[in-house]
Amino acid sequence: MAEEILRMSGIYKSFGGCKALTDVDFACNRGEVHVLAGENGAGKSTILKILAGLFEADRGEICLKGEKVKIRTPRQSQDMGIAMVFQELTLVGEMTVEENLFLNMEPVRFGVVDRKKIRRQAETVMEQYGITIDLDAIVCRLTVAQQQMVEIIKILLHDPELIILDEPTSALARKEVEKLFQIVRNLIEKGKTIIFISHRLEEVFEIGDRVTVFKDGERVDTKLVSEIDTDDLIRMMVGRSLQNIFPPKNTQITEEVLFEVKELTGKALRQVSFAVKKGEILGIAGLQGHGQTELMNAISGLYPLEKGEIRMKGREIKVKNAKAALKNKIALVPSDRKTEGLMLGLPVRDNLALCSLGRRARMGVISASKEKAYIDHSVKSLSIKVFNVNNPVASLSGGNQQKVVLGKELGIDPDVILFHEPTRGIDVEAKNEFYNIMKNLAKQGTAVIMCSSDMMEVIGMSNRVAVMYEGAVTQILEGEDITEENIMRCAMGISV
Amino acid sequence: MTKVLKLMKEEKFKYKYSGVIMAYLFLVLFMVFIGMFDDSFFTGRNLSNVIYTAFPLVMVSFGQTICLLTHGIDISLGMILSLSNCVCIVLMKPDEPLGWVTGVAAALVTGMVCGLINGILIGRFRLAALIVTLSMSTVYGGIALYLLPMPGGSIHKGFAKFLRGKLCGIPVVFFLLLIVLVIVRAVLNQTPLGRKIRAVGGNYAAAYATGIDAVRTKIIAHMLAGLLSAVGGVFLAAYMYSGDPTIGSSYSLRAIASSIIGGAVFSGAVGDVLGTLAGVVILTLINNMLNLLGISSYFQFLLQGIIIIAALALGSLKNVNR
Amino acid sequence: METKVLHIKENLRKPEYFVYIILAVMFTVAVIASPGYLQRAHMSGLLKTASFLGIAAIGQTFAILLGDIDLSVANTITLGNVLGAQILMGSDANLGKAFVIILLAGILIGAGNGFGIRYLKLDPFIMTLGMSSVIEGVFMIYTQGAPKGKTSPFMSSLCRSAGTGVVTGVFLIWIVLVVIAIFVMKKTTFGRNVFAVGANKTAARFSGINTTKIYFIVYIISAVLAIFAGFLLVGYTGTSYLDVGVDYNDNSIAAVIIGGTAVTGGRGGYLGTLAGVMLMVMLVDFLTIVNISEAGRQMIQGGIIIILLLLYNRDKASH
Repeated sequence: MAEEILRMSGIYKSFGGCKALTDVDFACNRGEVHVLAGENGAGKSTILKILAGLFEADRGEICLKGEKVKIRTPRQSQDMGIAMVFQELTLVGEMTVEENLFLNMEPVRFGVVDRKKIRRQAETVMEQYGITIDLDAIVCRLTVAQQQMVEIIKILLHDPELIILDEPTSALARKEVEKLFQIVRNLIEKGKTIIFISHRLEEVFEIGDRVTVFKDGERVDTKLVSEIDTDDLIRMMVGRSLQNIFPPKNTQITEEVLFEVKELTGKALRQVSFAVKKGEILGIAGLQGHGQTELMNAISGLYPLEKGEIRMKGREIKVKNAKAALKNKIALVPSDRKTEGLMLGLPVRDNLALCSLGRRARMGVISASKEKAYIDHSVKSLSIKVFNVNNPVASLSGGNQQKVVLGKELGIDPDVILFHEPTRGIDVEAKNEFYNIMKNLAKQGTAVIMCSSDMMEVIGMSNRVAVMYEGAVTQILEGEDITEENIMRCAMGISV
Repeated sequence: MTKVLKLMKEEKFKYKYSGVIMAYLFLVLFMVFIGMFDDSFFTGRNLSNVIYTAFPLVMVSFGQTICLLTHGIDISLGMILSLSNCVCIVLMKPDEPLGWVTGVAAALVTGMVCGLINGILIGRFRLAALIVTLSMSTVYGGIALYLLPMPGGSIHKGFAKFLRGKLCGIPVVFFLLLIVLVIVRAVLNQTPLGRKIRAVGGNYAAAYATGIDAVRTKIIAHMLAGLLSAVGGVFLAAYMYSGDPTIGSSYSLRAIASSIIGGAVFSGAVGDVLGTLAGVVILTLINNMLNLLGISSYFQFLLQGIIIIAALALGSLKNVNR
Repeated sequence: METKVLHIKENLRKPEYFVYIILAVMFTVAVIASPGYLQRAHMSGLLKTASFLGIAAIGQTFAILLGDIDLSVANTITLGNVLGAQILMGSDANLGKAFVIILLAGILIGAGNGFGIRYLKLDPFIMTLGMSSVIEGVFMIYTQGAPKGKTSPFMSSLCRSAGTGVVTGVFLIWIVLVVIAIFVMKKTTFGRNVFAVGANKTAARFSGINTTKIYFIVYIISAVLAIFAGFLLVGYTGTSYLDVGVDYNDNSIAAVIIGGTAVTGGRGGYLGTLAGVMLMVMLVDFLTIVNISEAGRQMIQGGIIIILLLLYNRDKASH
């Protein structure tokens, strides 16, 4: 008795040269909870944003309730009864819930905001869908889960028919997820349709009616949740061939341990331990938000550790801040190069020179000749394509910017180098160059740790993989055990 | 009573009013302290003097608070006060019965126009508020000097008498202050405009995403600030029976200090003119208090500085937890 | 060859170089419009005035490069002035004592600012404003409202032009400081770190820069230079005045900004500020020469800064 409420056919979307969606057909039935699954960058978010009016598809049709429609702006989407709750919340923290709910659409009486009417409307909606939030609470004091509730109430005030939730559970704890799901059930009861993106496979089975899997910008399949199991799901999500952009892995790995961490514990880390041997690349995998960032930052002195040991070539070292880490020859290429890795307004040469200024300076004065030699060497050895090193680094392409970050860190001649999402947002050719650089670094005796949410990358580059789940290392996979399915399992806490 | 206590425990109340309450606590302690040393402090005459002295600064500070709410700042407000002060005097016709109307109207319009210019430069052209208002400060000061090269001019007698007079023993300006306080507070807390102002200051991106015309909101905020400063300028014209082109020079920075002491923050969206009022009175009373304590007037400056830093530090520390 | 011309053209659009063009234009206009402009006495006076502002603007440049500001410059100058005059009391014998006390006071002020900003987490605007008030208190107490003191022969000689008739002692001191300032900003690790912190505080932290240390050093530099500028002014004014520093906040900030240093920090430098200082001083001087009233001077001065800001911002993408 399924009535189709939405059908998108033949959707194509590219950004620049990058194909985000290729010939996607997607349909959704009224009154169902439809979950979208797939890896980061598979296209789930893009197709929903097209539905919400943020992008327009390059090609393809959208039919809403049987009628062909064109969605060009968010407003149009809203008017058609579609509402989306984004990951980045659009709330003003310093104002109350009630003030946020009706922002820019306040009912007015004699020039003054009609608070009674607001409360009535808000309370009606909350009651209808079983949501309880204190209307007078200050938004920045609420938990992320509660803030999400406010966003949901906000869209419910427009009484939409189709509600889209973009990764609503990624920042929530178990109990909060349950609360959210109860509200989802209430919404369904009242005849709404829900599409949501989730990375937690157990949620697909818990709340989903149907699931559509995306991979590399294409729709793989749509199945009734009741007809499949976890294995089927995983198989749909992964299982593709390794492309040839990875250099062959190092086989000469000795037993000599270069770098080791023992029982690292902090607010988001639970006794993480691993060792890196000479010649190998250690990969760190897992779904986003399970402690990887905290681990990378902790080793680099940017995140406070409660307990744990860090050993460099057998000797214990203390990294209490970034400066100490660099002094101990620990380098980090952070995940967000624009806010954490580069000074965009400064020239390429200044960025490259940054961490290692002291090495080319005497009594604080920088030697111009030494610096020029260093810059030239850096640009050449990393093949940084730059018109003029005096240009601001913002003028470089993503791949070259990332190389500048790497060059900057290599300036300290590190013994350990950590890569956090090393090839995010860079083109294939640059990726290949990067991988070769990483392999050579490992070969030459630098301990290389690579943390990435791109599974292909992790499998293609790592000699061993430590998979993280909720702040702890589930398992360290080796050799032939490094497969997508195994990584996925470990990423959900299941050992293989 | 229990209802009030219950209200006070609420999160929202604490968040919104903690700054204000701390400011008033400070103020009350201050006044009690002074009262202990000086019998004449709490006399009608002295309190009236305090009100007369504080009124212009209150107006400018209210304007500054509005700008701070939009995550902005306006260092030219003191000069806008001077300028409208001079415009008022120059365009006043002292001998006609309704001669004060042109002066006052022109002064208020001047304030709004100055605010408009500031708002456009900051909101539309995206120039840094600090530098823009710093430079415009010189421009407005220059225009004031041009209009009235030397302090002087004459004021409409009836007008001056009214503003300096009393109603049932209480200075007229006190009522004026209350009226302005209520109106400004109502606009900021009860109208959509007030919410837009705070939204733009609190989270520009979210405000924009919600469809708010942020540029227009900023411009209106600066215009209101200019208008309020003009009110202060008009009052001063009446109080001093004359105009003075340099009279506003210290007001801008003091207005910022008052707003911050009253609980406003540089990062926007937080602040209440009620708190700012307390901040102004505290600043005004510092001199008063130090005088009465027999502290050499020169130590007064030092203590004034230290008290301001302490009050600001307290205000800052409280905000770090947000 | 073509690319070289294009390269130069591109560079000229940058504020730090553009301001020199405006300076040149202004200079030409001034020379043409007023006879005797190039006379020794006039030029030496001009350069002398510029020196005081220029010295104060060095610290302000550093502060703004960090993305912050120093509003205590004005009163620090006044403090240096009254302390200097009163300690010297007309005698060169007291020079050593004056120097040490003033240096210590400057360090104290700078450290105080740094402390308030880093440890009390006060906004630099507020902290330096409050510090400004405290300094005012200090010199009011010190002078009891009636500034006394007299310049010493040495200090006065610094403000007289010998030999060539154009160069004064203070001007030389300024030039030396200019060279040091530009050198530090461009060629030392400290200078690079200041730019880095101003450009992106987070990335600076990730790159191992000790931001607290940088803050302290910058504010101490600013306070020490400002207080010495005030000290040097003793030779110029003969005695001390309570309002000697009054315009220095506004003028130093304006000089730095029109010199092309970005308000948000991370971009610019003293080379631009140098031109900014000359521009400010020449503007005031020129307006006085052509007999424009104080009112007109203020309007034009403020107006020009706004126009320059609008011009600088034209190429910037909206943020």
